[in-house]
Amino acid sequence: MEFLQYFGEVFTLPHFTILVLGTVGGLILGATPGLSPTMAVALLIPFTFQMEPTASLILLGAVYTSTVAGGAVSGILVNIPGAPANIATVMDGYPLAQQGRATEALHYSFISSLIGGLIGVAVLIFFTPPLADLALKFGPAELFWIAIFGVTIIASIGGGHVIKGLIAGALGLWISTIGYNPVLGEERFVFTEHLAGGVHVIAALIGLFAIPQILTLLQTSRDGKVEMNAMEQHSVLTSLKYTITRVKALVIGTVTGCIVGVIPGAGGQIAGLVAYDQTRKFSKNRDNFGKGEPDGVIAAESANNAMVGPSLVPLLTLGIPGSPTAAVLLGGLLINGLFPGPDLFTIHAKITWTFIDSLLVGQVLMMIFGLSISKYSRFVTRIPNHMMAASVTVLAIFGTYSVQNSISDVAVMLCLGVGMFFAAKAGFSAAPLVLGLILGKLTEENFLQGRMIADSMDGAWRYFFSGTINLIMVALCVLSIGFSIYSETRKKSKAQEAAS
Amino acid sequence: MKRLPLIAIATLVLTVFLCYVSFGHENQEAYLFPQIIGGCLLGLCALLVLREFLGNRDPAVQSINMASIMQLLPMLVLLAGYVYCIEWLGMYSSSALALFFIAFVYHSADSIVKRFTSSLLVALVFTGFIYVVFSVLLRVQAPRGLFI
Repeated sequence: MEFLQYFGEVFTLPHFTILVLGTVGGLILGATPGLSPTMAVALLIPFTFQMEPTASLILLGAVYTSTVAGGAVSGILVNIPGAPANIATVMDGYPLAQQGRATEALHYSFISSLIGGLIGVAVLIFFTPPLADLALKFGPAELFWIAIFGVTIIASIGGGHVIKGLIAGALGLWISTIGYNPVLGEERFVFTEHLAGGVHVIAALIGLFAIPQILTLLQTSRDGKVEMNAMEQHSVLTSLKYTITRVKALVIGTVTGCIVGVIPGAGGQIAGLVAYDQTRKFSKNRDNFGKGEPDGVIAAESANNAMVGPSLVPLLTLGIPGSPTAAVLLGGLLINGLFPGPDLFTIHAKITWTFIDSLLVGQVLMMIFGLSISKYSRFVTRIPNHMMAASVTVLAIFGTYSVQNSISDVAVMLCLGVGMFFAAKAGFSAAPLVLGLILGKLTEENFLQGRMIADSMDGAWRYFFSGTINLIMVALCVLSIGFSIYSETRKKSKAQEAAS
Repeated sequence: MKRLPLIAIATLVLTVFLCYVSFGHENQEAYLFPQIIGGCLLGLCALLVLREFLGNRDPAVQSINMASIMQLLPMLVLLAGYVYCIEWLGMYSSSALALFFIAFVYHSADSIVKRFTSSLLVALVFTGFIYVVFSVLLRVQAPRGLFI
């Protein structure tokens, strides 16, 4: 119970002040489209140079936690996920907002983030040694199957049309190959200088979600207001009671988040989408998903926050980051002279445990401030369309530019966005395209690395299809595809029955 | 008369282009993954074409008429102009101009004076907010041109 010994350190005036500032700042940054948790932590690292190590880690940890949760705000209110981790939240969060239930959706989002986040940090505190061993078992073959499992979700998030969902997902996978081959280093498909560095996920995310939304708003700009029903008042207590009764969504979300968090290189976006998909598959109300089902928000948000704690397990013990943000956080540790490994829990125990304890307190603060923000969310829905569109356009362009200080990213973002606007009219959905883009690099890199290892061993078949984790992942992939086909056939036969 | 499955045909054309650029390179190993994806895309497109030819239309498809394109045309021109002006005028100046013109063109009020003043206010206030967040707090280096 060493973590209790240093709990008081979090509540000293300087540490607590930094924790509060980091949490509030993180929520605001998270709600800004384009400012992902990774970027927010990276931008703050220079500010920590002058701080003592504990304070700087508390700040970075608070920002990491709250940006993941804050990303849901813009997703729910204006259909633009603040970060890739919030893509799944948007699928039901925005339809809820359109029904005038934005406050309620934000409540579910922050309460489930707290539950997932607390369990995630508890996993970090109590299960660090066994999970570190598990993280080491994930080689290229296992990571390849994780990515393929993610790809199998594409079919079910395609917005009702399986073939179009799969086409969009495959297109996303293809777009992810633009730029350099991750293993051989050869430049591919660079038709213009703007594509030299490939298509950045954040630029694509903003373009595919924000630009079609802006253009849709402008089509209805003469109507004056954002097309939403009157916002209902919703008490926090009612939302809290409802959320804790959604045990299935919370369990699936939290367990998925914890598992994905430990796997090096995965990340919140995969956790959120996998949790959303699995919750939908096991739900009695699966037909309501995508139309404003609270379980969708609860599963996605509990997953992406549950991922935070476990993503630090391989980082603190082995120096292997569990998520892209954890990789940036590693920089923060090294700058402060803290090297991952046993020393962190012996020589630097005070700093490490105070940091972990601050993550627990940070989760509670995140919910308190998040719920306070929710109260004012109705003002966003009162902004006239032309003002909303103009400000989101500028925010999208600034958010995209600030990722790599590149105008090329802005140009790519706008092209993808305008293309997506017309593709959406043709019945294609942005979510599978983004998922394909996110998973593309992970899939290709591990596929090529796996092939190289397999060539020097017993061949590809044996390498990719042996070992407990590989076989479990293959079985999960088969089950996931099978279930998608089953539910599509069932939906069709139901529709035919209703028609006859 | 039966309508042509235009969406499926357009998707097929795009896929054929992607396959064309994915194959026929010297270093085949570097292009293996996009080639596999291209092959899958081709198969999926064939299914889509078949499905649409059989008359299985997607209910999610919305028609695009000329009026809605004309309504969005000013925005598309403004977006292109905005990106062009970023390096010429500077990020903040072009953002202020973009904010003003988007808000002005798409304002619902009929009075020009009301449209002008409210658009100007939006442009100034939001540019100030963006400046504080990105330049002062986050120290993002925005491109400079003739102005900031």
